[in-house]
Parts: sequence; C-alpha cells; structure tokens
Amino acid sequence: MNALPEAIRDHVLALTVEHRTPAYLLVGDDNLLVEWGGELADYGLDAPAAGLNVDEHFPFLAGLLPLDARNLFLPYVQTESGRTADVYLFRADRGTWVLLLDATPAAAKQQNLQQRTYDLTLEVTDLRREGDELYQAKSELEQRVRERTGELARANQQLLDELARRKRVEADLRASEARFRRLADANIIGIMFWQTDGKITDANQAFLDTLGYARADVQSGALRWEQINHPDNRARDEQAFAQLAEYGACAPYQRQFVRRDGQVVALLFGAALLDGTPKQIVCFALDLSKYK
Amino acid sequence: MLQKKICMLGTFAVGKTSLVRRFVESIYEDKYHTTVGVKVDKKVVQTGGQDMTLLLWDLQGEESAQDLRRSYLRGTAGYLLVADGTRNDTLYAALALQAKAQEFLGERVPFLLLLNKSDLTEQWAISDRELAALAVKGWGVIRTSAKTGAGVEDAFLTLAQKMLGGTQG
Repeated sequence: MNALPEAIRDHVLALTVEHRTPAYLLVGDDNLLVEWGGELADYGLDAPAAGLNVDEHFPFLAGLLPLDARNLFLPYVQTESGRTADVYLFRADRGTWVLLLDATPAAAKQQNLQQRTYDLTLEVTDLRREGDELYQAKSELEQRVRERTGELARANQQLLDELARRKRVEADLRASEARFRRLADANIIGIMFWQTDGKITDANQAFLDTLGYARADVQSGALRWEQINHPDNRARDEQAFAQLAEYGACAPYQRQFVRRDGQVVALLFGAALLDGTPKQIVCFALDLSKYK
Repeated sequence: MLQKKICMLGTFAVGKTSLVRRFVESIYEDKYHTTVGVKVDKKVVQTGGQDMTLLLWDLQGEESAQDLRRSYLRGTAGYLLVADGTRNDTLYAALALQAKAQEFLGERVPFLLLLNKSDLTEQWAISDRELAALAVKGWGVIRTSAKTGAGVEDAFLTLAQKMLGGTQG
C-alpha cells in the first residue's frame, strides 16, 4: 500500500480516537503491567498499578501472554461494562501492547443479523422436523390403510365366495324341491309334513284321500297328528322316533292310522327329519292293500 | 491461585451460553440470544483439594469449524464441546470443531463432549450407536440440561479434574 499523506493519517487517528474509545496496556514479558492509558474505565477495567500480574487482574488476558512473534486479534470481546471491544495484541521492545477499541455498534449490528439468521435457521430446523414427523405419520397411516384395505378385500372375497356357495346350495335345494314336488304331486304315494308338536303343515292329495280328509283341513291348521294316529302303534313309534332323533330317518314299518270316518287302515309308513329342522318331519304312507 | 482457561465450543444455539450461566449464576433463560465474539466469565471451584479459578470463554457458535478463530483458543487448558441432543447435525459440527481445536492446541489438551438439552427426551436425535462410536475413541460424554441443571456441575468439575491431571478426552 502506498504511504498515506500525513494529513490523512492524522485524520484517521483523530476519527479512531473520537469514535472507538481507545484504551491500552503495556505488559512486560514477565506478565507484569508496565504502562496503561486511554479510557480503561469505559471497558469496566479499574485503575491498575504498575507491577500488577495481568493474568490475575484481567481474565481475558490469561493465557495469552507473553506473546510470541505472531500478533493477536480478538474481535468482539464483551467486557464487564457492557461494551464490546476489539482487542489487538502486538509486540514491542518493552513487551506486549494490548489495545482495546470500542466495537459495540458493529457488534450490535452483527448480533442483530446473526440472531435473525439463526432464528430463521432454527425455525427451518423445527419445520423440517415437523415435516419429517408428518411424513412418518402419513407413511404409518398409509401402511395401516393398505393393511385394512387388504383385510377388507379378503373379507369381501370371503363374502363373495360364501354368496356363491349359498347360491349353489339354493339352486341345489330348488332342484331337489322340484324333484320332490313332482313326486308328491304325482300322488303315487301319500306324503305328509308335520311338526313334532303334532301340527300337520302339508300333505299331498294321495295322503288326504287315503285318510278321507280335504286340503282345507290342512290349510286351516285343524288337522293334527293325534287325530290320525292309532294308540296301538306306541311301542313301534317310540323305536321309530328314537331312530329319527339319532339318524334323522327311520326304517319303514307298517302302522295303523285312523281315517276321518273312524275306520282303521294299515299303511306302510316311513319318516325323515327335514334337513336343518329338528322339529319338521316328512313322511310317506302307502296303502299296501291296494297292491295285494 | 491456580487459574485455567476453558473454551466452550459448538455450533450456534446448542446452549453454550446457557450452560455457563447455569454454572456461574444458576440462571436459565428459555429465549435464545446468540453470542457475538466472546464473553469471559470466571468461577472458583475446588478440585483435587485446592481452589481453581476457571476462566470460561464462551465463544460465538460457528456454523463451520473453518471459522473457528485460533486467537480465541490461545492459552486454553481444556475445552467443552457442546452439541444439542435434539439436533443430530450439531454432533457432527462438534466433531469437526474438535478436529480443528486439536489442530490448534495439540492432542494433550483435555476436553469433554456435552450433549445438552437432555430434558427434551421426546425430541432426542442422537443414537446410542453414535455414542458407542465416541466411547470407542475414549471420549468423555456427559448429558446436560442447562434448563434443569442436570449434569452441568458434573461437566465443569470433571473437566477441571482432567486439567489438573493432564488427561485428554
């Protein structure tokens, strides 16, 4: 750098003295105070005495001295007075000079800028953390939805399978009923439905004709098992009902029935429980006398 | 009286100033105030049967270890690396600062790693695996909370003992 004219140097010096409140110490290589001056009190430093140990008296200098060949610069040292100082340490023949220049305004600007920057950075960190937590929660929710959707799909498939099975069973049942209905309507043999409480719920024409009853007797609910039963069958009936309870059907046997006109007629009788209905019985009755 | 300089190192907002204030003045303030430059405090402790003045250099948090000023570290007898346990990146910043400090000060200057904000357990972000890796290197690690005071006294006194004994890490 070119040498500055004396007038400029003087002006810079005057500005420094006016605006940066210089204070100084001269410390010998034995770390004892040699000389001091300037506005030390502005930095909260008391009036020292020559020969004072600076390590003990000025904590911010402890460990720094004696200085080696390299100069030291400590920017923005906060002092007990509340001022912030730039501290320069440099060698001279008589020891180390310690120069304090007020840096409070610059430090305040720096503090303001730094505070805003770090506050923003911390906000971003918090936002990122919240974002991570939200992403984690969203992932967990999506996983639960996937699992639940899978469960529902499986349950739905099971329902569809069950529905298809029931349709097949109903179709089979309808076909079976149609075949049975055709047999009953053909009136080749007498067929009758009744309940274990004695109520006769249906009968084909062949059965009604054999015992002399009309369809209206069945439809009105008036016709009951006790009316057509003959008491002489009791012992054989007990065996038949035991078979019904155990096997769902009984072997055909000949038993007496009472016609509407009071006549007793012997019929070949067989019975079976209807599927899934322990109280519903279907039976056939065949008048063997017609075939003799 | 025996006098030792301790530097507080760590990136910004990890709680260096709060730890010093808790230790020296038993004060905690929740609001974050960034430090510019350096603030020097002192506290007398008893260690090894003698009084020791700890000169606590609370340095401005640096985002990068490259910004650490060598001049501040001159004469340091021990240092506390501070990381914020809720911000994993601050641990890695502390590791980088330790490497830089060791470059300036040499390997014999003792230090401890403080995982600060230990009261914020739900936000804790430093894994046992990372701590185990430090344990393998022989690092002393202490969990601290400037807010509750947990571990703070222990951290400074442990470092004081290390400085007295001249042990590293």
